[in-house]
Amino acid sequence: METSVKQAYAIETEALTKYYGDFEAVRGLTMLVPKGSITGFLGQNGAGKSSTIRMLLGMSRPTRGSGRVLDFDIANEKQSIEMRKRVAYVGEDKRLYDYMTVGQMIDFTKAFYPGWRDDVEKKLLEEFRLPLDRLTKKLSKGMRTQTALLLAFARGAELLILDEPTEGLDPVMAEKLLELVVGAAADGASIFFSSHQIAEVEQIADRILLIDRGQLLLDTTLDSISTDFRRIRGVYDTAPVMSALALDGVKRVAVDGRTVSVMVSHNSVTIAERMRAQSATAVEVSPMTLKEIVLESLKRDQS
Amino acid sequence: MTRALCHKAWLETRTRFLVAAMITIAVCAFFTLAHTWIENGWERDLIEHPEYDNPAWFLRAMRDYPFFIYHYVYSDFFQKIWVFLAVLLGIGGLSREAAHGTAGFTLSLPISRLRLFATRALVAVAELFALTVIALVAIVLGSWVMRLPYPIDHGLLHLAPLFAGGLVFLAASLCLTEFVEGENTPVVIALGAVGLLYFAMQPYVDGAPLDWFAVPFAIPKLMAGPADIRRVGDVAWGGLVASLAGAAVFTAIGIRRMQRSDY
Repeated sequence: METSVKQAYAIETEALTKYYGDFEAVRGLTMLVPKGSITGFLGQNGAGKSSTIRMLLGMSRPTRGSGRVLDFDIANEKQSIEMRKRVAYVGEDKRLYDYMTVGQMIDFTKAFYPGWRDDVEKKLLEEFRLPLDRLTKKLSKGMRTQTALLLAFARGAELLILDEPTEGLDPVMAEKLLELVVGAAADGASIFFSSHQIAEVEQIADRILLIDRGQLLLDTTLDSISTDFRRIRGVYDTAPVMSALALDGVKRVAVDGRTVSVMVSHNSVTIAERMRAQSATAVEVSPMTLKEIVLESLKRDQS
Repeated sequence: MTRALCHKAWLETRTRFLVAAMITIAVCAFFTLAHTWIENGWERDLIEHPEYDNPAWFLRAMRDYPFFIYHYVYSDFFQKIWVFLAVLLGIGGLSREAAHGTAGFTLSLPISRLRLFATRALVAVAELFALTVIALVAIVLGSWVMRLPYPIDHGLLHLAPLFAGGLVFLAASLCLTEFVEGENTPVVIALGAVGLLYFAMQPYVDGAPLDWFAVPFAIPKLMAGPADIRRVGDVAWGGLVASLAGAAVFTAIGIRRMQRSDY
């Protein structure tokens, strides 16, 4: 039973922590990424996204805590190697070996993946029109990104981990990349991608993890955002009793004069009724966008 | 996978290797092809400037061609270049890749860090060995062209310790690049250290008796071997084993560092 539960997740971390010297880049991060999902890993620059990804892939070691990717222990090198046979990664800067041509990069990478998808390689080569005999250092940034994507998508991976995949790309290229990600997910791959672009996460993700200063602030689905997340505004004649708003689902309470604004992740009906019962003269319940939720959550963290 | 990794290591170092091969050929060929010209110049100097204070090896090098090659190639001039080349062949690794921005790609591949290191080291050793062969061929061919008798076993018996000593510097370089981040910083540090070592050891290379405190650093003398080496038994095997042990220690330290590093 326990095994089947674990296998439901592509990524699991438990109190994952990373220090660089005295700086705590990741603080006790506990998160679950379901298999088959497209999970957006949101956060500002320096929030700890890349540090987390590097730990997941065995590039750096956790200071504390544990993690499993496709049920392989990230701290165990043998298991990490097995995991990496099933995972494709595209880093933020998408740098490739300067001394190799595009063709050599493909041949080199292919050698490590018995399940290499020649069909995907061919399709993307045609689509991107990559010059096989050109050194990667002579490629434009867009072409280098396309090469990096080809090398990742043709691995036939169960899990794609993309670190800021659209960073530095023009809108057309970024859009194409997002289409590829959705296509890979449709083929059965799980996707875990970090970004600080809320719009692109909203466009393709079905699950959101928001991290700030190394801590998880939000773990929800896009569906939940549209159906459950609400902002409730109440205008009071007299000062409200704030402790009365300490209810299940309340994520943030802000007071501006006689107006109380509450961000709720669920339970909005009960919370609105409680505010009316507290003599709020006008209570307004409105849906929230992902952008509003992210900004509110980050405000809370900064307060 | 190993083949792909070896190919990667070769592509990464091939420019350095080809430059090293050209330098090796140029230097070794120069001292064979230009021997007569140098010798004539020395003889002229002896006549015109009898007041010159010539070093101890000078007169023998004028009369004894294998000794001339020993002095310039195995003991002094080329040995210094050789050590620089060995250091350059060892530069690379994950720290350098991190500076380049490719460490993430490499580490996402399903291979152990140990295998990455071992493959890179293996290719570098193979390149150093190839340079040894190139040096021997250049000396023998150059001597043949100039009709100067040069015994091949003399070359073999001197190039063997030169290769073994080169391994120490290669391993030190492999190790250093795991400790020092950056693209060029390890090169500057390694070459600076080698320059200092040779500056300090030069009096002994020139023939001064070895002081006790200089013994642990006497690798230049060990690489040169005795001038009158004639048989396998003349090779300083103990020193060679110590060299290889030193190379192994540097390699082990480098591996340990790499295994523990975050990229």
